[in-house]
Amino acid sequence: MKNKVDRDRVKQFAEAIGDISEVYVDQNRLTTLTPNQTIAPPTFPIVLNYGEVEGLIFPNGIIHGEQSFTYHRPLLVGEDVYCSFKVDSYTEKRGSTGRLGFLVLSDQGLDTNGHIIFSSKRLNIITEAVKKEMIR
Amino acid sequence: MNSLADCQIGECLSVIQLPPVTREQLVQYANVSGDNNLIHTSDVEARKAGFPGIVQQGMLTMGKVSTLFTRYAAEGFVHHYSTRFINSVHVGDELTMETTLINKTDTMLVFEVMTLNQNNVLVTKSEVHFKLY
Repeated sequence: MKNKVDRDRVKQFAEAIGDISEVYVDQNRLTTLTPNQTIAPPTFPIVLNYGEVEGLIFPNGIIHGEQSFTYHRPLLVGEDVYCSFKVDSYTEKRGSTGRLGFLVLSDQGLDTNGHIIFSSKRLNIITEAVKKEMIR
Repeated sequence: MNSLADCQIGECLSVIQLPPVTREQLVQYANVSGDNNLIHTSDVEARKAGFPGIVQQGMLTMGKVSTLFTRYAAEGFVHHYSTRFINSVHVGDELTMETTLINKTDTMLVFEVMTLNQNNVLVTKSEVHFKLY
């Protein structure tokens, strides 16, 4: 999925996390790879569109267990990024409240030349009740 | 400390206390991020899921923690950032972030960030690998 790192969206995101820094919002900063660039906050890729995996939905009550981002370089304001995700693994363990599912998803964002900008991993924990919603 | 690169292993950055979590912050983040999980905006849905009230988005906590490093953007960038969400965060909670340098090379600084609530309960544990330019 093609996404634009939209200047207004970055500004709104920076405001929402309480981080109104010139690093993210200053129009006069450069948008090339220098220490003076305007970049997106490290967790900004969570708002990008990664497309869908057929049959996979995310109901209310899904628990976010872990999250990571790895950047080869900062994500620049104004650039296009090509995003995709895949299911890495799904395992189940017996917990005190029934069986718990552990769903690991990997995301990645590429630049217009196909070079990787960032990758990320999400661990979602799915309770028995939520699983019923997902396979309904 | 003015320069992050001067930090030594075992040293800590200043402890940062965030303002109390508000309902408005959670609604604002839900709108901006497109996370429409109702446990973040509806007390009724949050209680159904077994919480005392609406729950701060894990990604909002992670976003707030990342603000620690923004002012060092001229020195480098966040190369790797991982967080384990350990306990839920609710409206009125006052979070404190404790940051310690746990490893260092010529080009990379590795920090551990413990985020605790007002009852000294660990809510997230993060690792930040900051790459120097």
